[in-house]
Amino acid sequence: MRVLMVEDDLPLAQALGEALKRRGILSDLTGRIDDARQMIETAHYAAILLDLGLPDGDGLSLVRWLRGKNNPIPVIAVTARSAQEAKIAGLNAGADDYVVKPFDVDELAARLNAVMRRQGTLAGAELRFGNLRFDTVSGDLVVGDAPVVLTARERQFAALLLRRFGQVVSKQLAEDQLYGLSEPVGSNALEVQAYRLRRKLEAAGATVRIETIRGVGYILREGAAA
Amino acid sequence: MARATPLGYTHFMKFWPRSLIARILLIELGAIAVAAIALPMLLTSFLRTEASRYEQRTLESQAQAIAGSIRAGSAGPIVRLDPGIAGIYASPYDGRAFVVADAAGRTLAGSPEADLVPWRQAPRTTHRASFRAGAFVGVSLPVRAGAHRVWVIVTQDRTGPGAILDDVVRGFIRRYDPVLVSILLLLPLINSALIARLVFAVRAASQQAAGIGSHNLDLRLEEAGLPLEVAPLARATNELLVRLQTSFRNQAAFVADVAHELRTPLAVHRVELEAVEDPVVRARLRESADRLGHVIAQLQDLATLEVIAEDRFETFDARLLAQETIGLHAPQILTAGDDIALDAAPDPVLVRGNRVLAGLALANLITNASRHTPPGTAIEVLVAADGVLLVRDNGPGIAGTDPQAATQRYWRADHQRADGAGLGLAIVRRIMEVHQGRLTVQSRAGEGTCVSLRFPLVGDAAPTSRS
Repeated sequence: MRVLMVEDDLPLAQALGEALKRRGILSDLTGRIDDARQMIETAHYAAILLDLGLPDGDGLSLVRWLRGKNNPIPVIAVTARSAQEAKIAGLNAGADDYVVKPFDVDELAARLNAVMRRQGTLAGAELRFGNLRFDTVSGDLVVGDAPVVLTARERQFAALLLRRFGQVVSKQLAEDQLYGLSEPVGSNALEVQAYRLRRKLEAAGATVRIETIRGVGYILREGAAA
Repeated sequence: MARATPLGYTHFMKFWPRSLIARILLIELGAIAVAAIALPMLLTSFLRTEASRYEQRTLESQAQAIAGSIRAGSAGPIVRLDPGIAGIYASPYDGRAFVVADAAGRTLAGSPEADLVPWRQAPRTTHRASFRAGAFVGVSLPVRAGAHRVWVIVTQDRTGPGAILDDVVRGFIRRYDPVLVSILLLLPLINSALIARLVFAVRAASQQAAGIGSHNLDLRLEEAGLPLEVAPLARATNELLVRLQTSFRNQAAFVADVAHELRTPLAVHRVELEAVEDPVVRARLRESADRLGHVIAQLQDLATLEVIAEDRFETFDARLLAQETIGLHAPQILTAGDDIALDAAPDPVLVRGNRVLAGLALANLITNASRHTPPGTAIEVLVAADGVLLVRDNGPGIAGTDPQAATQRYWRADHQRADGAGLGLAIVRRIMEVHQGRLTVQSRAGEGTCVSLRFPLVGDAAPTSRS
């Protein structure tokens, strides 16, 4: 897998390139938007890591150029603005995700994987976290080597949590996705689903776990079932 | 400035009002009082002087007329009075009388009532002379008739029924004085009204100025409605505001730039430290890099705050905001080994404010509660129906804090920290200022800390159909 890193700060680019290489992600480097365009047109990249403050312009112009050409290549924006500022400015507009400097390389790698999966760039449609594998097409869940039998609702819930691995899935969103807007939802229906799914994962010895954020939602994260 | 003022001056200043209108009224009323007394006196005196001059002239011209009818006869001067003049003196009206007398005091001619007049007191000198005897005034005019010298003495009774001058003057003043005083009294009224308008304009401008703070430095005083004399003050204030705003923005921009510039080298550190073999050293380096990143983030937030605080307020559901904010920060809180939960009112809690800033304030409280407590701390966020957002933890609290001084102590304790938590609370405090909301901190050693934010509720909180 090869990604294009558009970053004008050489020390950062080199260090990051090394760190990604250790994780099996190769990268090409350029510090200019013009060069990046040429490289994108000549080579095939799995994703782009895009610094927003480049000497020859706003990094987002590259995203606009890509999207204008209907190029769906996943883009992760790397910004030196604060997360709050980035949110306000809508810096990820057009980009698939963004990270704020300084960032954790593991987190960046995880996000890279996530955006590529979302795009279907990675082979197959399998989500893999810890010892858990989930086929988004068939809905089959495998922990270790043992398949876990899920009901239709549990499958939907698992898919939702896995697609947003490490992020909070709000109750509202989960209810909307699992039950739709027309179906009446019991006040604890979702809780029951979460409880059952959690029990099944624990029983199968999964190294990921569903946590409840009371009043907010659910999150699937690393951590062996206690 | 008023260092060595004499005692009398300070004494005077005690009674000297500070109000401009009061001063003007005081001075004008004083001037009117003086005028009301002095004017009639002056007027009387002027009128009297003028009247007696006129009287003198009349008497003199009559004396001249009589003198013209004196001829020198063989047996001495003969008086042949013009019948017109004789007619004037036929009656004793006004004490009018004339006598033509010689040096010995013998009467050569005279009006019928001349004996009633004290003409003998008239001086008989070589020059014309005026005299006054009792109620009478008169003129004594020496006339040469042949070898003899006679005197024409003409008198008039000042108190006589015809001499109404004093009455006229007195009556005139009695009527004129109130009119004059009334007209004069109108002046302070008009002046007060004019000044009051000026003062209202100044007061309105002052109120505008009082409402301007660091969160709305883009406001300006209205110069259009102000009188020319005061407009320069408003203009100078507005120019000051422009300079202040510019310097605020520059400062914020500078902080943002510095923080921005620090992020990239810090990112290099953060990436490079992964190559450190020793896991303990690596963890320590990562922690310090993360802390540095946190401080930079807060600096940037503080700088951003100055810019976006000028945005318009909106109505939003505090529960949704809490859900989103917690959702955003829950992963890192769980990673830190802490627990977080939301307890919200069943119905939408509609508050007015800047949603982004309110979220930032809440995020600061949540991350603070996690960062400054040991792992395993339970953090609870409550959203009450009255617009209060409460962040509570069961951490160690802040030692030695008495509940009364909790807020202050908390700030002070925090400003001594080097890890940016003080900055975080400065951000929260600033955001609550912008919202004119309230921030309270309660903390007791061993019992945890509870911080509450009160946002202004929407006045007519119409419940929305979907939250």
